[in-house]
Amino acid sequence: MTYTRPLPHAMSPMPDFEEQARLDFALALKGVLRGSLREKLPSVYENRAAPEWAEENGRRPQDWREVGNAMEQTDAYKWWSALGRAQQEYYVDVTSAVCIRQLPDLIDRYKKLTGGETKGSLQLSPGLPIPDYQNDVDIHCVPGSYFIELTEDDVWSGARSDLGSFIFSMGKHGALNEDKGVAGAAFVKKRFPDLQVKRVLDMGCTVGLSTLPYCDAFPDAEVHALDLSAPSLRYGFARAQALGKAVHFKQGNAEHTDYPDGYFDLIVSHILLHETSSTALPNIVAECARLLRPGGVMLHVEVPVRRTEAFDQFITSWDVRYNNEPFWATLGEMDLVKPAIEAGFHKDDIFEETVPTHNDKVGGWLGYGAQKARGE
Amino acid sequence: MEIAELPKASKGGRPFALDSEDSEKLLNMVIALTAEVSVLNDKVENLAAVAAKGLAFERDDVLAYQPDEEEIKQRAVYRKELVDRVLRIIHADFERQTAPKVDYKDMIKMVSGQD
Repeated sequence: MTYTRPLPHAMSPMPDFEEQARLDFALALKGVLRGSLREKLPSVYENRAAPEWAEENGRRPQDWREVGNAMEQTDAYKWWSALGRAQQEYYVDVTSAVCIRQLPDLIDRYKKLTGGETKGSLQLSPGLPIPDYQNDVDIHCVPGSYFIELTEDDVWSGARSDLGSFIFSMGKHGALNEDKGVAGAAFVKKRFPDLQVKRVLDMGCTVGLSTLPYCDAFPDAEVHALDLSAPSLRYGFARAQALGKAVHFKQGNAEHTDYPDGYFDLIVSHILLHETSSTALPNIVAECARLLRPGGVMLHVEVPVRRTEAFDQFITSWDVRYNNEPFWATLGEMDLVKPAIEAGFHKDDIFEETVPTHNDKVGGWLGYGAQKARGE
Repeated sequence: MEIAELPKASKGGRPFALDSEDSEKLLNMVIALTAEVSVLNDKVENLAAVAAKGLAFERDDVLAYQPDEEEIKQRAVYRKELVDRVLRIIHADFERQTAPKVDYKDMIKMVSGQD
């Protein structure tokens, strides 16, 4: 199901008439780019890009990089990319403006929702170093990214992320953009039916879009959520209050946390790994191994970066160049078994499978994880 | 409450897909202008709906009007058609590029019987 508006809650940034009209236009533009124009790109490749590249090189393109070299010469791909980047910058600008206009009110709502008795908790660590892979590039071309603090008790980046995620996914990931969490929890329950879950950790939770479904899936469990971004965590904590969910939010780096050894039964993340680096990813997997109790499970729900066809792999890598996703393509080719073995997981306990989506994202999410051996 | 100014540029550089950066900058302006056309259409549709239903005609009432399901669908169709009209030349270009390349000079030679 596709939603035209996010489900409003007490922390929602609410676009005014003109802002909503601009967001509706941004969705319409993306619909055309991802619809009728995107659908023609394979044919452009077969009829133009591949034959012309073959004429120059004496053979057809072999891998996704060569497919890219061929496609990047075509006007179709150039314009599709230019329009795609324009659409991205446009909707980011509109969602940013919505949240700036309402920032005093959003901060007021944050204080009211979190000022008294709360469900869960919020623990911030001012001065926490932001790793270079997040600090040196504004992910998704959002000026200010997740870390800018425009004023005291700032929640701007969290609010923008909540609204922006819905627009980016074109309303296809649920009215609360919850699909990755719902899908991840369902996957865990099906694949590990005997797993007893008393404590869950969601790494890289941002505002908790994917965290909250674990409160519903494991109602007796204590749900924790970790992120680098203070504004996202403030917003996420208030959003959880607004939606009546108990989550313990903490500011920290998933590579090195301060939770005790063996503290969690289940550790999950949702589209976190592709925002890290080839150095950080093994650290995160090793941290998961440390934090899991024997028999505990790690599941990283990722964008489907693995593609068998070179053309699909190239198109999937569009975000690397045009949407500030520098690690995306590297992750798509990375051996994910190796870091898990180095972290101490047994080879037979490591998995890489499709996590079925609960909405209409074709192909589902990539599920990478492992179960920690019992009795160690 | 003092609020710092939000930067306009994202860190990480700005790639340009078109051969001309200036053309791509103009493209971004065209997109923003087209969006404003779409905004104006939504306002006109609100005005028309409020008038047709005999509702209050103050500015805030017009802007607060909530279209019903059918009106939402009609406006979505308008936006898609607006985008398609603005991108007509791009649609045409895509269509040409999904077929093998034909040199128009060869066509002239063919119809005129020249070698």
